[in-house]
Amino acid sequence: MNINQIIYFIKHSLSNIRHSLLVNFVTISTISIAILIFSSFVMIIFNLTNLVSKFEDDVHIVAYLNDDFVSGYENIKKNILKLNGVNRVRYRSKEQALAIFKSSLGKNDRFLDDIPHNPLPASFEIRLENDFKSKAKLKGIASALKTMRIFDDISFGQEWIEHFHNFLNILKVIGTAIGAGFLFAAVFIISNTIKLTIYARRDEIEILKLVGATDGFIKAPFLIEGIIQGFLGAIISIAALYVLYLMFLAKIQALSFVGINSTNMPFLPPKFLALVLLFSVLLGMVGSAMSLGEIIKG
Amino acid sequence: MIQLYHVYKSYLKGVHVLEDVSLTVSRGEFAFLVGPSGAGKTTLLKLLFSAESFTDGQVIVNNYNLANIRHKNIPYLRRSIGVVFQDFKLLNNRSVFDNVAITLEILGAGKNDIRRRVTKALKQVGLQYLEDKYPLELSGGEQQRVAIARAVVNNPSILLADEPTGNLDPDLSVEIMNILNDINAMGTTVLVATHDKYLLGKFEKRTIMINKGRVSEPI
Ligand SMILES: Nc1ncnc2c1ncn2[C@@H]1O[C@H](COP(=O)(O)OP(=O)(O)OP(=O)(O)O)[C@@H](O)[C@H]1O
Ligand SMILES: [Mg+2]
Repeated sequence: MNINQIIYFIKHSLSNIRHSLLVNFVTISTISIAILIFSSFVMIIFNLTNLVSKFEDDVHIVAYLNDDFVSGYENIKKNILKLNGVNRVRYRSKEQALAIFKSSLGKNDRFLDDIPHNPLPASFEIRLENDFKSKAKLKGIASALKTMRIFDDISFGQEWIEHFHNFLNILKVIGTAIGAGFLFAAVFIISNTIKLTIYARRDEIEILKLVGATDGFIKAPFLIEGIIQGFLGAIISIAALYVLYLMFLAKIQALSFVGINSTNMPFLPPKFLALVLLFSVLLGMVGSAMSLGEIIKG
Repeated sequence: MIQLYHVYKSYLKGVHVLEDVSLTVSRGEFAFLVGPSGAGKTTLLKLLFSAESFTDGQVIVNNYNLANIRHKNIPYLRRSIGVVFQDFKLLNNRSVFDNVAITLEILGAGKNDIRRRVTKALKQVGLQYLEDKYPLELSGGEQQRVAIARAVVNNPSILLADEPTGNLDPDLSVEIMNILNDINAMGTTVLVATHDKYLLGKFEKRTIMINKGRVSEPI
């Protein structure tokens, strides 16, 4: 293969597209929609995975002290620190807990004045080594804390993260199924578009064969047509995804309390975009290749 | 170089379109293949560039043994054979120039090379001034000559022409035959299928008769 042939291939695949603009428009639209749905799922899962790993980093144990214990915090803290996997421990007194609670209420803190005594317990916030953040390890530490018999309650945020993981996995399955369905449809439509092109070009293909063109030479423009369709489809869908993303950000930033912005919910990173592009181009190639068997016949 | 040994061909089981055909056309030779309609002329030519398979026997063309030629070698066989088809097989949506250029494009020839060689081939058949026209704007004889230009533009060692003077008036027929003669004079082996008796009288060449699939040569 030399440069002249490559020019020939590209020229002819573009002319194929030009000669059946409507069919190619429909095909590229289908690819765009398929890739858009696929990459939306990729982006949602990507962001939720980021989010959950941030929460995982934040996993810690809070042990609420029985009100009977009013002194000896330093000793308790030392004992907790001795436990395997404990990294840092911070004591929070009843008064501190109340102050934090008050500030979280803002202007509505009046009703606290009617309460005769401080109902909030003192607590220890226990930070863990990274490899002690699994459910089993957390439970081990919690039961060790229990045996100290000075805590009314021991909580750790692991439970809901576990649920969140399950949710993510379900989302991945649904995303894969829907994505695969649309991608399958895209491949099917690409291969039929190429079939139409091959049919429209059957006289030319016959003559090319008779004057001694190789199979590869005859197939190349159709493969390139599929690649161009996949490429354009990916570009359009990525642009559409970006617009949707910006619209979503604008909407959600109006609700300032949610605290989502472009930093903690970024667009797909370049590496992912490159993968989506590559994937779409492959899709175009596969769809096209599926129809090229017809050329060999006869 | 074309060699056939005891070749049989049938499209339908039991009906021989070619029957025990043996013949040799040497390098640089000019031969007519003559016979009535349905005799098997087109079929015989098609065997030579592997557009049809044969049922039995041996066919050797330019050192390719066609009985067991591999699919991937067929394009290379065809590049060494120029074919002028009975129905021309020109592409109506391409200009005369582009029709002739096809033969070179598939070889990966460069633009300047293509321009030079296509111009030369069109000059050879006297059609240079029509290069921007489209086939449907041409007369039958002009289309015929475009087909010849496409067949010879890459200097094949063999030229097969299937009824190249069919439907043409005698003057035009002679003109076309002169072109084929010139091409033969430059070293190309030429095999022309025809039922045009007038031509046979005018050009004294080797004549291979074919009738109902059997060949014979007047001695
Ligand atoms: N593809 C085919 N399938 C079945 N039979 C065929 C096919 N092509 C040709 N034949 C038959 O083979 C015989 C020879 O046909 P062929 O085209 O070789 O004749 P020809 O000598 O070229 O005739 P003409 O001078 O009319 O072009 C005919 O009887 C024809 O009907
Ligand atoms: Mg014929």
